[in-house]
Amino acid sequence: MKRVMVRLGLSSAAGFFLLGLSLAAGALAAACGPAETTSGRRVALQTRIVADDGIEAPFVNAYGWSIRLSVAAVSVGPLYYFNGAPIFSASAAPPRPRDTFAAFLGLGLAHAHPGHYEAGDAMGQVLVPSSVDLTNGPADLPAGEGVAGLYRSARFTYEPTPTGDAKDTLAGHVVVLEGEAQKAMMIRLFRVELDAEDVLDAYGEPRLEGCVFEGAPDVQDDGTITVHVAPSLWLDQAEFDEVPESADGSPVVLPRDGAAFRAVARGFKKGSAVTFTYSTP
Amino acid sequence: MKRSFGLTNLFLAAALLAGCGAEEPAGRGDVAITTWGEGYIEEEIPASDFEDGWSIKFSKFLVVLGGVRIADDAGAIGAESKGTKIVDHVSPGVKPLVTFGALEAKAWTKVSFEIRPPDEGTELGDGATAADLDAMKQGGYALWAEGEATQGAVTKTFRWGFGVPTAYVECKGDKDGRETPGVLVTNGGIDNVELTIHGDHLFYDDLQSPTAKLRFNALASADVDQDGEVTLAELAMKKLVDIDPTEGAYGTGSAGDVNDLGAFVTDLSRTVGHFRGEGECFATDPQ
Repeated sequence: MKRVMVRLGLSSAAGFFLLGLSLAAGALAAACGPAETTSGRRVALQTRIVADDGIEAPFVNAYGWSIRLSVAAVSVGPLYYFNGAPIFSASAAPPRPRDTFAAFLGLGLAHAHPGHYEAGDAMGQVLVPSSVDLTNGPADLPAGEGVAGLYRSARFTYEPTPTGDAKDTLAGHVVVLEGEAQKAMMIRLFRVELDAEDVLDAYGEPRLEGCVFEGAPDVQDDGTITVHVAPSLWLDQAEFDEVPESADGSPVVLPRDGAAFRAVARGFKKGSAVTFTYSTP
Repeated sequence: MKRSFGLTNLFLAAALLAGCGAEEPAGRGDVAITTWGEGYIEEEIPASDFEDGWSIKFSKFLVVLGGVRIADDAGAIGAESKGTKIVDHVSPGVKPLVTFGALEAKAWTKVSFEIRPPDEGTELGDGATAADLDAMKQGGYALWAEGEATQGAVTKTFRWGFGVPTAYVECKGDKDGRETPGVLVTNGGIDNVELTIHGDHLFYDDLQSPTAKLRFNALASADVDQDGEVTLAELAMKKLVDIDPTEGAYGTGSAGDVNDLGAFVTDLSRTVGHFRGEGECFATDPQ
């Protein structure tokens, strides 16, 4: 257990080091390795973010509320990509010849203590913070870089001090949502303001560890990493019954001590609400 | 001098030829697979290990284990046992599961096993009875945990059956002080491998975090009818968002669709399988 904690506790700082080590190993691979074993080669990774639901059409949450968002602003911090498998992987990675070579380079496969996520080795990163209002559609995030190899999980971080396109919308918060929730004859116009302390993980950091990299791609070429967020999971457990009706047509800020606020805050701590994909042009 | 040089060359050539003949197996050996539930299941999980002062004593801890596969780095299967065996880990001692004989002596790095509901071919293992096996078949359970939790004068009982099958793949663990993937077969030797069951995982307060703590307060509070038994149905009615944060984070990480304690504990039941004590595997869905 201690070994795992040390690994994860150091993982933020170790990200740069490991990635640097990986890039160095990539140079070694280029010099010494056979042509078909390319783990460790440097790749350029563009970054996109998109909301998979809740923007163009409403969704119904677990309490029967039909919800549509008009503002979904998120302050995005650094992103890291790892070769460690997320918990309860749909399938383990198939063995590949290059895995052996990667192991030789110190980029060996990570193992997860069952139920306990181990990030493994850093494979790529985006270090520049940004912000985005997802209701404006898919958006570019700052570009990243990485090394060739298996990408199985990722870390998404919330930037405590917003910067970028949605900075003004966020007004110092890490998340601002506005929307309409409707159930039978009830209509609630709501606004959610989350700060960094509302989305802390078990280590006290505003981040989501162990997000799934769909398909566990074997990244070998320059490409695009797309961050998919699911507003329907953020708001799935929110019960709006006790949220006051709007008196003037403006959204009602969810009180921080209310059940709806707690449910939404918990939604933003769900790693399953953020997944990653890799694509090539 | 010339003659000895010629002989040397001859020996060198022979040595090289011998080296080229590496296709021949370097002998054969055995792998014995056992399972154990450790003191946590056989005796108790003491209050000192819990954050909230509860202790746990199991009266039954049935596990259906099987589907053991031993393969090499390229995925070639050296040995496989497709059947399953049910054991009760409250029964003391390490329990035999299966022994594979005459494997080629080499590193078999891809070892996996499954915990899954029994079928018609499931055998009775140590501690388990025919009645246990029947009940597991009826319920479709892969794991059954029964016992009581105690905090001071308060006692809560539980009888939980979990049916979700889990494959533990690419296992690795400590062997002779070194982290070893899979098993290592030596000529004429036997590699004893223990599939270790960690009963304390059912009480973790996080599905993903290595900092997860053992807690029972939130589980105890799910006993809404106050009959002293915490059922899975009651746990399913306890929303994670309704748990006081001081009673544990109950974080779900990247596990999807886990919003109540019933789903939470069910997911935890898929984390009990280990390899050579504290060794690790990937927990995944069986193929």
